[in-house]
Amino acid sequence: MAGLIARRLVAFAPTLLIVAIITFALEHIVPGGPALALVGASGGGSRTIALINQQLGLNKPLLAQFGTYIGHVLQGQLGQSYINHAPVSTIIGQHLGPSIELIAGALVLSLILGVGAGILSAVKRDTRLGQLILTASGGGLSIPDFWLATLAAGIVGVDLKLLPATGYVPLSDGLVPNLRTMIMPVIILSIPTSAFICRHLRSSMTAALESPYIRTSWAMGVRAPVIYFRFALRNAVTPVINFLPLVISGLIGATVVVEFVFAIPGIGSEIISAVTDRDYPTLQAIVLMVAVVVLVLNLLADVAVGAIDPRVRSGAGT
Amino acid sequence: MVPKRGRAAGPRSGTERPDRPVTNDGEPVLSVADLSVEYPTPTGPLRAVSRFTMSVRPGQVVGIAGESGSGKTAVALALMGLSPSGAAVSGSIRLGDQEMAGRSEQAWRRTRGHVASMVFQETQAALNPTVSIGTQVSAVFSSSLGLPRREARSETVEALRRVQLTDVDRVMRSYPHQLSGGMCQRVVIAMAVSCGSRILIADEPTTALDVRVQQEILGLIRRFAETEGLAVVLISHDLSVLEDMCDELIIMYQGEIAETGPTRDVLTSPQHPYTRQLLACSPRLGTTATRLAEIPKAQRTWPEGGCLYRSRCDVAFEKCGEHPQLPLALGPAAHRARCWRANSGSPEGGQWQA
Repeated sequence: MAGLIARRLVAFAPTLLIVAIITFALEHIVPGGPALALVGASGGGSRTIALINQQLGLNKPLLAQFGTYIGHVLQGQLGQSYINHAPVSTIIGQHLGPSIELIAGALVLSLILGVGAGILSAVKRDTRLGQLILTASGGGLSIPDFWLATLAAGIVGVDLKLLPATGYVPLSDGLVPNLRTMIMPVIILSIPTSAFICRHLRSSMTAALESPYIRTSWAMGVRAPVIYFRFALRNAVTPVINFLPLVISGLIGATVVVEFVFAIPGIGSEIISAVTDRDYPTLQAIVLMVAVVVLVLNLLADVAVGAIDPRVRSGAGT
Repeated sequence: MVPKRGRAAGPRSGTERPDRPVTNDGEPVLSVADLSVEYPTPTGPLRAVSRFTMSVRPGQVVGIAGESGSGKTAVALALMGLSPSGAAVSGSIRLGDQEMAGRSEQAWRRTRGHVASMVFQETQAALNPTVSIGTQVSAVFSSSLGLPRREARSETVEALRRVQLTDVDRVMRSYPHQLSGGMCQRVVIAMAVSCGSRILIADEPTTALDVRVQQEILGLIRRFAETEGLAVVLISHDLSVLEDMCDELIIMYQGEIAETGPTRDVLTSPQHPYTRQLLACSPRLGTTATRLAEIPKAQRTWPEGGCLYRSRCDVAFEKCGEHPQLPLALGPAAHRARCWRANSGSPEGGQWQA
């Protein structure tokens, strides 16, 4: 197991470097450059821009700028916002809470629904119930989240007034008000995610249930719950675990839309304003953070699969 | 031929298990009558097994032989209630003292592992790749006998010793990919014979193994039959394996029994041209033949409804336009063949000329 983690960590470093290069390049690829963005459309002439470039070190060679950038990132200095000059880490810290709550809530709900429905539809694959779950999950995958979010905010929030249509109440202001603002966005995020998990688990679980080793267990009289939940599921979850980092990065992407519709002041909303304001340090920091999170999740998924599948652990087989 | 075995410990004798009396005769523990199996296919139902009949007494080994697609495995799966979903199974299947045909999946689950168990052709693939051997085998004990965890573990150690596995502690901790094919097959046999099953269905159990390991595994099965009165159905396409192992032999062709009888009788005086041609195809040590015979492909097409083997038969005659029946058994293990030219068949047919 230690060997597996070491192998994965070795692969981790170059990926991280590539991510850093891409986030650094963000600033330099976009036309106009950061100085122009800072000055704004109204702003002064080329002298002001040259001054700003000098202040920010943007007139140095690219490699030197990259070195400085990496050095700062490694020290935890993500820079200052071009807009309000607050440290980027503070800005991220302020917006992180709602997003984490949203993503964690959606992930937990999706796992409960998706794993449950996936197992059920695989075990009952020859019945009408199994087919129904499959059809429903197909529907869940194909509903666009921005459409559903707008519709839900409009009907549940505005017309029926059951829940607040927009806004966010932090957990510190009480659990019930907090949940009232979070429940709709969490459910909307969970629908496609749980459908995705359900379909993946259904296909891997079906493959496991129809495999020779499960037939052996039936032939030897092993009880059905042991076969389903200990023997088949153990083999069926590994492909799903490998997909989970992808699922979570999909969720992070989806929060951008959902936070925007429900006016939740999370990282997703902050990305949108950073892009509109050409606030490169904030944007770079968020992209870097999300990339690192996804990388770490991939590492965790590999370790989890290794813990479940001895063939992965020993580096043998597939 | 009794296979040589290198390991010392043998299966436990019957005296250590007083609950399992050793009998070599008596009532059959497995009897099948008029078993038919139809599989659904996109082009309509396919008859895999047609009016199959057999019985096995305790301690007896009965072989089923035939080419690929002759229905051997379809019989085996039907005997365990493991036919693929959608398959239509009819006829009578008696396991122990219970009629299983048409019973619910729940009833089959109570039977599997207790009354009848099965060993498969796949060796490693038949074991769960992500569960340790110890856990897999002890799950059989905790499921079948309701044993608590620790007792199930100690029964597992005992069961693995009975199949002559050495270094049992290491095997228990191992995963299937860390064991050889022969060791995996021993583990599967350990599961099959350990929870009171009186019937073992072995579907090509040694096809995937090399010859030496094959002999060890067959010797193990044979010994369980002899010392513990296990009734064994051994399925193989290898006539030399069946010759060594079986008391009785059933030759299948296209889902029907072509010929059945005591192994020696069937192999030394085959009554069905298919059996005769199968024998001509199997290589024998000590013979000088340079080229093995092959069974001819269909020579010409015949009208529907006659003998199934007619189109490949070298002794077919006019009578074969009528479907021959397997003669009724006049005694236990009677040698019978579904052929108009067979001795035991219709008085019109005589011994065919070889």
